[in-house]
Amino acid sequence: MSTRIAAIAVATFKEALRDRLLVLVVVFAVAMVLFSRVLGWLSVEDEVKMVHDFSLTGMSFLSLFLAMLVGASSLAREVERRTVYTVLTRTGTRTEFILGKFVGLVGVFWLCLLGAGLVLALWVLTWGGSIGEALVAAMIGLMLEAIVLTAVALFLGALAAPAIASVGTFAFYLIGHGTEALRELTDQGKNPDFAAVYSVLYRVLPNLENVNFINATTSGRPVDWGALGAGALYVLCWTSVLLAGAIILFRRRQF
Amino acid sequence: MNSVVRAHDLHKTFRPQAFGKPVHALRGVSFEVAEGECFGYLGPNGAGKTTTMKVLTGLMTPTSGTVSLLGAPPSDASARSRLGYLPENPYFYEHLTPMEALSFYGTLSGVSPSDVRERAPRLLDRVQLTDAKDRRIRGFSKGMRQRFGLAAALIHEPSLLMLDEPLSGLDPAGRRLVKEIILEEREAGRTVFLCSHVLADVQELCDRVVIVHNGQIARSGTIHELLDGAPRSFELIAAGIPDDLKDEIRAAASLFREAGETVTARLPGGDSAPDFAARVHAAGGRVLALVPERETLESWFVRVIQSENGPSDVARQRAMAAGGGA
Repeated sequence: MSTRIAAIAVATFKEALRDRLLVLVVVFAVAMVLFSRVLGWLSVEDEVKMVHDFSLTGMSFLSLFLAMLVGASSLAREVERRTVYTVLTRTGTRTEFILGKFVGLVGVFWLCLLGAGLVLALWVLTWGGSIGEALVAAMIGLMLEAIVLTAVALFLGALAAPAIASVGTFAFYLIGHGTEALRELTDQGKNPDFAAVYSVLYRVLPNLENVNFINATTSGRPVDWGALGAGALYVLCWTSVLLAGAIILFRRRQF
Repeated sequence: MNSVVRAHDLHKTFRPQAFGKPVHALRGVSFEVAEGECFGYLGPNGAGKTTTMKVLTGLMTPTSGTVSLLGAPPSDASARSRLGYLPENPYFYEHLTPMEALSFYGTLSGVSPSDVRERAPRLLDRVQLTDAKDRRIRGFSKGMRQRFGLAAALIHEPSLLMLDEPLSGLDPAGRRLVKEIILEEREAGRTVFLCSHVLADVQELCDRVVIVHNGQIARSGTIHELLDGAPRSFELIAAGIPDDLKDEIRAAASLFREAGETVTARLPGGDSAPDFAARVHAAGGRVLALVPERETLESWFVRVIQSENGPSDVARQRAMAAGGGA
């Protein structure tokens, strides 16, 4: 990584860490983790399973909210505050600027996820659960999801106003977690006329379930690390395409 | 002339709305800035100054025309590596201290960490921010940000300094400091491209100026050429003037004041004022002072813009020339 990308990443990381919105979102995620115990009491299922499910889902929302609230407005804020003027008139390229912003944002989002994950681990241990490889796999999946959500937020932030970029990131998240339903529709063969359409959509639309290993924490089955590796490659492909798009858009931008 | 900046037939057209009327911000702007000179780029608000600066620094691409910055287009990183740019009302990453921010900008400009460590304290001392070196920029006043911006523009020891309103928001001591730094940089051989509304400062700092108006170059030349060396008027202060001569002076003067036996009169340029002074002396009076009044850049600027716009715009231009914007 070039020193310029690293410098921009560090500045982005520090800037995002001091964002009050970030504190609010992290407090919300930690509250969800802690609240999961209450649901465990109310649930007829295994209490620790509820803690896992609810907390990890909450952490997935944490990634989404961070991408929507911090990532999607990141570029617009640089332009609005005109800090971009003092950066882009130096030797760095706009490509380096986008990559630096991406690395910095992913860094801060990962830090938040790891913090919430640590709270979850302590919480699970407190209530008699254990930390296994399934929880590690679920955490890695969430961190991969954060990567692609950050790339979406930056891409849409380079394309449109922050509010639209936030809504677009939310839509990407919803679609990403709903794509699996298309495969089920195809497999069930209920609408054979639309099977081809479902099949194409399933392949074209993002599928965040490829890195969703939350269920693995409670299913009792061993973690399929190969599937996680394939999911990581899948996410990195999407991320590369989105970042390339963000770079192309940002290089054409007039300030 | 070895040109450091060369703009040729620059056009920039904006279309604020998809099907709206196009706005022609630049309409065939051409100029060159020679190596080592301090070049003033002036114009009323909306004339196209900021657009030109953005095109020159690569923040914006022209609709047509060419720009060369230190022999290369602004998109070329090698050109930007020798450019020190201070934007108008600069903003920086608020959470950084000046030392951290100088390190950040130094890294972005390809300065080695050891050079940054050596230059940063010296630059902060030069802009009188040593005492604030560990404070976050967020708590800086406008003047402190401006001075820090100048330090950030100098961290990589650029060949060309492009300064957009560098004296804005500064107190008198800060203005004096920044002007001294600009003059020192020019003395050190750097080329300075200065955009400012404060025309008295431009007159003090710049060798040559260009006035841009409605996206076109209205006038250009050296300060000496543009202002013409001859006095535009004289102020004559004299005492003991005979009444008949006093009446003649009153008739010729654009301004006449009498306090006791002392008369103050503003007389037109040319030979009349020295002639009156000689006649006062010959008549037994005392010439206390004969002060030539030369045209300032400010009054010249207002005159040029007035001739471009017509008299209706004079008040607005006067306000702008005084630094108050328009």
